[in-house]
Amino acid sequence: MTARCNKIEFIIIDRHYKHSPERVFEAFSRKAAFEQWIAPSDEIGTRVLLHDFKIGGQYRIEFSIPDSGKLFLKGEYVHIEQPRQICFTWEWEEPDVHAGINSLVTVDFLEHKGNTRLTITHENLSTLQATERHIQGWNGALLRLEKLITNQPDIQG
Amino acid sequence: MTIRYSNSLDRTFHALGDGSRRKILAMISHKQRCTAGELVEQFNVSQPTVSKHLKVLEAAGLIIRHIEGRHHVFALGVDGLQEADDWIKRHLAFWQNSLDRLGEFLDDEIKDSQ
Repeated sequence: MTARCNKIEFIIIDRHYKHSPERVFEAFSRKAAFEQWIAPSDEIGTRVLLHDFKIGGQYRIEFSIPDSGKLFLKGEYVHIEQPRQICFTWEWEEPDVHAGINSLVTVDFLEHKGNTRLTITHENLSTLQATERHIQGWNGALLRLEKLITNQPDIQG
Repeated sequence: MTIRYSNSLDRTFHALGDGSRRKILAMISHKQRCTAGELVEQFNVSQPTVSKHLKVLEAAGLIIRHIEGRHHVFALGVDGLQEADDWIKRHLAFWQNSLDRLGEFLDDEIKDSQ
């Protein structure tokens, strides 16, 4: 693994779901399912406008925020490995305050006794050179995932 | 749930990652100043538990401690919050809430199919 040290900021969130990785994976891969939960609040209307779930395929989501209009999120599926991993780019469209910031989301589904440990790694790639950022982000995510798994033997709900 | 960060915001987010600590922070924010005793009374938890949470919040720069006689008085410290990057805060909140909803969605899906 050749991840270089860089200054990207990232978030890692772990969740434990009492469902198989296949089922949790489907909540991402099926458009109708994805639309049901991807908004951070019930108040926010969600329309998945584009959901071409394959490597190189694009997605685009419209979020309708009560009293403050619409936000659009778009990206591309960089890696898909059913039911273990999904990796996609993430970018808010203009006029969002974070428009133009490229970021990369890696979703890992780890099976544990029939349940799923889901890990989201969301990396802000804005500080990297465009040509290198995907490779670096990807390697970085793998390296950190490895560390995470090594350091945390216990499943936490 | 475990959250890890790459930068100096570690402590801030660790501090904010706990529901009890967010409640304590909200109460200090609401009342502007608060003694440890008032927090113990409000949340019906032990003094050592509250003290532990207050230490974490203090270390993260989220609250400031003043000692007035026998009382430790806490107020909101803005440094910790300002330091937290907008992008990280926004996306952390996004995923935490969406993943909660994913859990509800999966549970409901099971119920529906039974």
